[in-house]
Amino acid sequence: MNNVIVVTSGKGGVGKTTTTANLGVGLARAGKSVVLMDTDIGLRNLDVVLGLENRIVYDLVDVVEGTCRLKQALIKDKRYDGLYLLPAAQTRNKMAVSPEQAKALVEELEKEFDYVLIDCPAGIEQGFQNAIAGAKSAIVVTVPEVSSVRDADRIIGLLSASEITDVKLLINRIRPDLVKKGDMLAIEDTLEILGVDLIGVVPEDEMIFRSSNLGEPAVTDDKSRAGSAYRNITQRILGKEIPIMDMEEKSGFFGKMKKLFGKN
Amino acid sequence: MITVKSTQEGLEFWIESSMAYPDIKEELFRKLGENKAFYRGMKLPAIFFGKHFTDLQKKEISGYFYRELQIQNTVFAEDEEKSEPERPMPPQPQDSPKDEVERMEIIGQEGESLFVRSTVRGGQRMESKGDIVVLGDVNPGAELIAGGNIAVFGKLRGLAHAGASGRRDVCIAANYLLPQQVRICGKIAIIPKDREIEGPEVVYLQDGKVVVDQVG
Repeated sequence: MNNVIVVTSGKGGVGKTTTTANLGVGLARAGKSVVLMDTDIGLRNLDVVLGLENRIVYDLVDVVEGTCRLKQALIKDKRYDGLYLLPAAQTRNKMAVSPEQAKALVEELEKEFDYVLIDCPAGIEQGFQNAIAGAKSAIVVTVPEVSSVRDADRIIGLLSASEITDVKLLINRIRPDLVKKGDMLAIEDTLEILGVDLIGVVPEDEMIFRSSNLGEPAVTDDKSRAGSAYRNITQRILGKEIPIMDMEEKSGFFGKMKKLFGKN
Repeated sequence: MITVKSTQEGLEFWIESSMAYPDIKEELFRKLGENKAFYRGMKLPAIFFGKHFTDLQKKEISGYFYRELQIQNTVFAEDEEKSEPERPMPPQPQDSPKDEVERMEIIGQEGESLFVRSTVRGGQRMESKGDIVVLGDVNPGAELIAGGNIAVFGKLRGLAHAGASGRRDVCIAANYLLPQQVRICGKIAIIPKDREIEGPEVVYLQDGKVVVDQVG
C-alpha cells in the first residue's frame, strides 16, 4: 500500500479509529515513523484511544489557520518510537477545514514521515472529503452486517470517483460462531459484494473495549486475538504476504479430530 | 382566462389577449402551483399563445418554469410566427402510458448507448437515452435509467429502469437477476428474492405486465 492511507467506512461505529490507532502503533513498532491524523473535527476520539488526550495543546484546525506551526501540534507518543498524533479540534466542526487545506497538510506530513494514516469521520460529507483529499490508498472498514457493507460499497464508489483506486477491505468484529449459524455475513459474501482485496479480518474481541478505554491499543497485547490480527495487517501494509488468520476458534483436540474426519 | 392544453407539441397555454399581466401571472402560477408534481420535469416545452409579453415578463415566466418545475424550454408563440419552434425532444410514442410514474430527464444523445466497464456501486446512477450495458455488477443502491434496454453482464442487485422515456418494447437482462426493483416504462415490479436462479434472465412487458423469462 501507499504511504498515505485513509481509514474510512461510511458507517459509524465499525472501528475506524480503533483500526487507525492499532495500525499506527503496529507500524511504529515495526520501526517506521508514523503520523496519525484525526480528521473527525468536533467528535475526536483517536487521542482517547491512544491515551494522549491530556497532552493536546494545538490541533489540526490551529495548524490550518496558522495559529501554530505543524510541529507544535504534533504529539509524540512516548511509548512508541516514531509515533505521532495530529489531533482534531473538538470545539469546531468539519467546515473549519477545506479539502484543499487538508491536502496541503497531508503533503507537509508526507515529507516528514514514512506513513500518514488518516482517521476519517463517518458519513460522506465535508469531513469525508477532507479526509480523502490527500490520501493515495484507502482501508475501508466494515463489519459483517448488511447495512455496513452497503455503506462500504458507497464509499468505494466515492473513492474511485476521487481517483483513489488502491482500496483494501478490512472486515472487523467478525464472530465465527455467528457466521457458522448463518446469522452473520461470511467473509466470502462480503468480498463477493464489494469486489475489492482483503487486507485482513479482525475477530470480535472483548479485550478491545478494555484497551480502548485504557488508551493502550490491542496490537501490543500478545494474548489478544484482535491484536494479532492487527499485527498481521501491519505486516501486509509493509508489503509482506501473510495468510488471512483462520477465524475458527481454537477448537482443541476434539475439533481437530472432527476436521480430520471431514465432519466440519 | 388561461386555458391549458397538453398536446404532442408541448404544454400549451392559451391566454385571453384582454388579460393584464399581473392577472395572468397570478392565475398561471396558481394553476401550475396546484399541480406542480404533474408538470415538474416535463421534457416538452411550454408554449404561450394569444398574448404579447415584454422581455422582462417573458424572463419572469420562463424563470418560474425553470425554477419551480424544471421545465427548461419556454416558448412564446408570437416570436415564432415565421418558423416553427424547434422541438429538441424525441417524439413521444403514441401509446405513451398513463401509468408512468415520472418522466426521467435523460442525458446523452438519443440512441446513444452507455457502456459501463466496471461495477456500479450503491449511490451511483447511470443514465442514458439509449441502452445501458454494464460489464460488472450493479450493487444495491445503484440506479440504471435507460431510455432503451438494459443488459448487465454480472449481478443486478440495484434498481434498473428501462424505457424510462416511454418506450414499452424494451427489456432488462442480467446474468444474475436479483434486483431491488425493476421498472419498465414506468411499470414497477419487485422480483421475489428467494427464487432459484439458474442462469441469465430477461424482464419485459407482456400485455402490460412485467414478466421474467430465461434467456435463450
